Amino acid sequence: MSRRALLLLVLLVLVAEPARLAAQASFDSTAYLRSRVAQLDSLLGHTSASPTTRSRVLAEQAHDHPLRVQVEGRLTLAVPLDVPAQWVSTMAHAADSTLGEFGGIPDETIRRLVLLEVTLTPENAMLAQFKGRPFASLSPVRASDSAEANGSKALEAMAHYFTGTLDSTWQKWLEGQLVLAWNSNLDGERALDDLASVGGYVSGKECLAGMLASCRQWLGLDDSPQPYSVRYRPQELVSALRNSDGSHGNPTEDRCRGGDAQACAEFFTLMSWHPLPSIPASGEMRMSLLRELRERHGKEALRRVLADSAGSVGDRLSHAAGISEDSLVSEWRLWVLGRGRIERVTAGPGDLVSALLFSAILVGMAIRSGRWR
Amino acid sequence: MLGNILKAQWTSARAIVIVFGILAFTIPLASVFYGGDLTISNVFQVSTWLATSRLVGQAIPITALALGVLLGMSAWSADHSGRHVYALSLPVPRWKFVLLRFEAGAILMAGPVAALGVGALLASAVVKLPTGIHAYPLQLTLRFAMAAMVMYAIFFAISIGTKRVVVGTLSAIGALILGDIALGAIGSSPALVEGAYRLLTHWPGPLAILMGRWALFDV
Repeated sequence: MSRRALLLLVLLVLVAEPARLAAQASFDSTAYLRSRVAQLDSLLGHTSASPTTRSRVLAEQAHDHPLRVQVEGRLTLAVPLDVPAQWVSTMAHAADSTLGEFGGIPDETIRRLVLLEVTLTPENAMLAQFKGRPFASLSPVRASDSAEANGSKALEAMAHYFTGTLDSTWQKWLEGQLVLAWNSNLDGERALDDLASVGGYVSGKECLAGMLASCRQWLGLDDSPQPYSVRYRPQELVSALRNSDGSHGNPTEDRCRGGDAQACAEFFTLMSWHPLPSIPASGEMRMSLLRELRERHGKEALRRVLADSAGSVGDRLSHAAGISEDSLVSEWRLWVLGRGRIERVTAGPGDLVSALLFSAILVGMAIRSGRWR
Repeated sequence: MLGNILKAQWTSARAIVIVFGILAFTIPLASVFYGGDLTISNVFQVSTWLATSRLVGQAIPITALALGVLLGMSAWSADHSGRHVYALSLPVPRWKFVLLRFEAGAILMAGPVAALGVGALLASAVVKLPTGIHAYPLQLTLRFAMAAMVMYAIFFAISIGTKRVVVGTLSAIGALILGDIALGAIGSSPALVEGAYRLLTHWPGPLAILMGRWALFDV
């Protein structure tokens, strides 16, 4: 083995690592200094909002319940005065950008809502100017959290409020879990895992195998007076009840435990307590359906579907996309199985050509090496 | 001639070939640790199994990288120790000798590549996959071969390079780092090293083949 090559390898490591650390340290210290300056500004009472034209401080109160109301882009936020304006600005812009990318929440809803830090109350005199406007509770903004993490608190508050304005069909289907941010890698992977690990539910298994009617059942898209008996197979209901805690003394429940499928259908429909969720697919899986609609049919389709309050969730999705429910479900299935993900495991012809070409160039360079001249 | 060179190269690199052959054979098998019929698995098994497959898959590009680097560096070890007297005394043109050396290394690399292929085929055969999930034994083997080949070519060329080449490579890296430090000092974001990295690791960069997801099983 060549000593020169070994030396080169060691040198590469020695040179690259300190440089990487130095670059990181320089970045971190700049960010830290900026946050300190903003914090000091705030404490000295010279708080200023972000230099962007859309950013402004509406009001500040330094006594009693010190707070500051800040408008950043489309978001209005009320936070304690000791939270630096710069942090609020950064988090609000991160949240606004995600909201814009999601596109399902109407602009006027975003503009009207006042995000109120959880330690403050809407009765505060400083908030009188927002009388008649809705408030949503915002988790505390912390210096230790990144702008994205603080921004996701604003997104959660916005999603929670918006879900509450939707009709009961949406609320039941979403279960309060409207997720606004979607990461192709992480969420796409999770959605695939969910679809691939449906061994427990026959409807999910059949969906994975390509049976679209089962996909609809699994995702809970169709309204039914007896959702459990439609979305689960009789044996699944019996097993779920048998595996749960002891009997509650209900005769229908006892018959179900005994293996009477009809009794199970009755019990699951009438009782409020169940050992199974009303929709077999997870919340993430249902969100992937909305995300697919947005990716394939645009933001407007997403806005239309969330504004729709007629029919089942399946009908609404079908109307918004302008295609049949089965076509949409089929599209979604393929999207989750592959198209929703950006990376593939196989190397394409381009990768192979590039690798071969580069190898050939290097061999050519080795041939022309001056060592033997 | 190729036989003699291959024999000399085998002497200096056999440990690498054997160790990496065993590694390459076992990695795909490790990803099917659970094995069995996944079409009748419980709720979490397929998910866990896919995650394990992905986790184990991360060892494949690292193996390809290490195999290429070590074989590339060992390709010229016999010549370096003999001060290139043997190469200069041969009645063959220089270009032909370099190609023979490269060819011999590539043949040795075929061992671990074939081992990975056999391991991947065996691993694919022992599981019954649920609908929608596929095994990619041949594609994975081809990608492994290409990734190892690129790394082998890089270090094959560096090992025969002159001092000037080594100094030039290091100077280029140093210049990028210094440029980044200078950019950072004037308040701009340092992006030269990152840019060079992106250029190399994103298509059509030569190292793009090493990047991204490596897994024997996927959709």
